[in-house]
Amino acid sequence: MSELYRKWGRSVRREGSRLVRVDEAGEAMENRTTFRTQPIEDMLELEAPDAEAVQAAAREIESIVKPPLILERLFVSEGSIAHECDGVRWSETLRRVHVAIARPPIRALVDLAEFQFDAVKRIASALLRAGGERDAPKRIRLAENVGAALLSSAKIQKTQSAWPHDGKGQQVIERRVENEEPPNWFRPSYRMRPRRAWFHLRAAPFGRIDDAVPEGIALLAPIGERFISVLCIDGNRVFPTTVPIRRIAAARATETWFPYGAGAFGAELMF
Amino acid sequence: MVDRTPLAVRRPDPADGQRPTANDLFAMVRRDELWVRGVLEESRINYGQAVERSGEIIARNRIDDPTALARLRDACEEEMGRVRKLIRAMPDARVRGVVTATSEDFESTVAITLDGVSIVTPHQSASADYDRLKSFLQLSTRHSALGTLPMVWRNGSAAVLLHEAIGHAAEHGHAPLAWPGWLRARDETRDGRSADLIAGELPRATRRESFRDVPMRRMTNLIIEQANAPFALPEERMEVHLVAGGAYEPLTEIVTINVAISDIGPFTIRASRAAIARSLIGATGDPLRYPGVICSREAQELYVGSSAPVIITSEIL
Repeated sequence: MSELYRKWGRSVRREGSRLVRVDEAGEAMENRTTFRTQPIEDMLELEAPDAEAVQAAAREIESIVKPPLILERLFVSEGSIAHECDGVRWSETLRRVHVAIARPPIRALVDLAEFQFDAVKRIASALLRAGGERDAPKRIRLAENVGAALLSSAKIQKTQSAWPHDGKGQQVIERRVENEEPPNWFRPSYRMRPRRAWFHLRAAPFGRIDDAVPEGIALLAPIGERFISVLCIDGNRVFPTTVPIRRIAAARATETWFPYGAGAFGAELMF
Repeated sequence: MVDRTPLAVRRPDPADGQRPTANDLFAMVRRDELWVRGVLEESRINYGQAVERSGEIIARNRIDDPTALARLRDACEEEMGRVRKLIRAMPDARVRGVVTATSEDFESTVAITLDGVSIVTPHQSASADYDRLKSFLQLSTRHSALGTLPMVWRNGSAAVLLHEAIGHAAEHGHAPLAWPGWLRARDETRDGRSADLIAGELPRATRRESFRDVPMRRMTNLIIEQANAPFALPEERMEVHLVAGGAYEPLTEIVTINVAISDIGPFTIRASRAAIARSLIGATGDPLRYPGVICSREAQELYVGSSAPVIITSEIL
């Protein structure tokens, strides 16, 4: 029994100062032992991505990040994608933003799925006021963008949100995330072997987030196994700090979707 | 809204209507196969072209010139046939063969993993490096306090340390440091153009992982040499044989090196490039080819040839 997956995509991205347009299609076949991929030259008529929206979004970010801040990395993209897996067809339009804003020696990382930059503005403003590294506050809450990055490994109750299709065209059904093999398949590229994953994670709310405690508003490094490095706002003070990943005392879900793994909704978490 | 032209009628040429020249056009075919303990697990073919003009890159997974496509694809398939024969002789390993033929370059590498330790090597050296890896894995380890002893970097492994501390610093345009006068570090393109990395020159080659990617000035073949360096093997020392990976943090100029195989087992070095420059205390012999560095920058992974003589550093942990 073999499975055939096909994908057609058109994307436009700003990477630094360059605009890159990519049209690509390919197929993946998988049987019990071997996963094979190859390009498809027959293209579907996909709607062209909005290059002007990509350029405008990139320009907006460039206007936010001014010296002494450094826009170290800028990826802004939009893509139109069609999928087919064993006769099931579906399509989607995606937007992605990855920004690294440096104020040496620190760097804030921002990943978004919309061209809305309130978080970028807030982080850039805070970076301008950032002082030296300080010990982690006893209690700290994480902003939705930071909590979303932590969600897949966070030891709290969470649910998989319903979605029309997974990487094999099957429906993603809302259910509680358990310590078991995820029922759905994640396929970030036709060239990559699909893997099981929980989709579109959402934190189950519990406890009470104390809005008065210091807040980690941006990741300063990818999530570690035992620590997260964040930019923290505590009253008038802004500083980088390394927070041990410990028991989460409260969680609140938000409606913003973030492109971490197979997707995660915003999660305000409090340690 | 702009650029709503249906894909089927879209022109591959730049918007100004001119035909791409050889300098504008990048075409690539790649074959890769993953074999695990003698069984083919993954097989890919990938091809496409990119045309660059006025800061814009138009890429697609089609090569317009059928002759070029056939030539590049045939070169890849022939080479993959040779690589497959090599892989068959490594039935206990996880092995990935990657062959890339482009309008600018041809590269064939084999990544071999045994007991969780990996090397990446040009196909010509794969059999010998497979045997070397097996012999490294037989090395016994002893206990020693980290950071208290000089380190002897054998088998060209110092190339990884200096790839991070000199090569990436040059790529980022960081100011040259005072390295020992006996040390030479240059990057060579496949057509023989050379950049003096110690002097802060950028690598000459513009490279990209695939036709979808933005080309960047990246190292191709890092050659570390010594000229009349002092050399006295310390009686008490640690010996480094194989490095799992490294990183250069451009904001802090901190180098991280994860040593995979040494006579005291795996360990991590984290030091500023200035500290590494101060730590070099001797070297001997000609550059030794190190079995492979896959260099990742801006999410683009490239193979970089690497060689270095035996080098001694003082304790830098």
